[in-house]
Amino acid sequence: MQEKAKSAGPDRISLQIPARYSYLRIVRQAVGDLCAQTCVSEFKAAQLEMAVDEICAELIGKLRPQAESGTPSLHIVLRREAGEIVGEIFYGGQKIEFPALTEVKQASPEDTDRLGSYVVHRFVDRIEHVNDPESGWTVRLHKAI
Amino acid sequence: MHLDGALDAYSFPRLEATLRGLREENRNNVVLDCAGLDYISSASLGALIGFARRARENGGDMKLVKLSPKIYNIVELLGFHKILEIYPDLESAVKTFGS
Repeated sequence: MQEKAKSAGPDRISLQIPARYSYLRIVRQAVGDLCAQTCVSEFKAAQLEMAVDEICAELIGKLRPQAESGTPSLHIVLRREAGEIVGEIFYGGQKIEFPALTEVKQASPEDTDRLGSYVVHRFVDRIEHVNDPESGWTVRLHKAI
Repeated sequence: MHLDGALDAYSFPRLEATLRGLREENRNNVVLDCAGLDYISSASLGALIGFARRARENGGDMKLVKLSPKIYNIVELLGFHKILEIYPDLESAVKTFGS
């Protein structure tokens, strides 16, 4: 795992983690830290924490079977921009699809099979899933603060 | 039953195993002490809701106590406070069993 020193700026945290569920707590910690540094309320921080965790957990679950060898990784960048926090999750390999990224219509809390999608759409304002030739696939979450 | 730390994808298998054990022992009246809980994922919430529903079908229930403001806020925003019974303390939760 690599973590940029805070001298990179208090408005950004970058980390690279092995695609293992045991590292999710580190991702959540990073979200909490950035939000605390940028004076985001505890409640909004918890919402973003949950959304980022959901996306990372889904990607980890799908990346590992894809990997031909070794443990794939996720590169996560959290940053504050004008009026919002942006969370970017970069991954390599083939495009990964799951409900939180593909469903436009929100699931309901009664639909326990799609709770992850419901949570992500409930707690963030915009989700992008884009491809860059250099960095691979990126899931980008935007949350207004 | 006390919940400590995080209920996330990493700990989810343990949560599932614990809930399965409770079902196999036919324990339908369960109180979860969440004082030590600092995170809960959607999958974990889904598992608790599923357990609560099955418990109610068997005449019992699952109740959550001592949720932190952070966790309660999440549960409330998601609308799950209408599905899960939440109480401030053990005594008030236990009183409602059988009522």
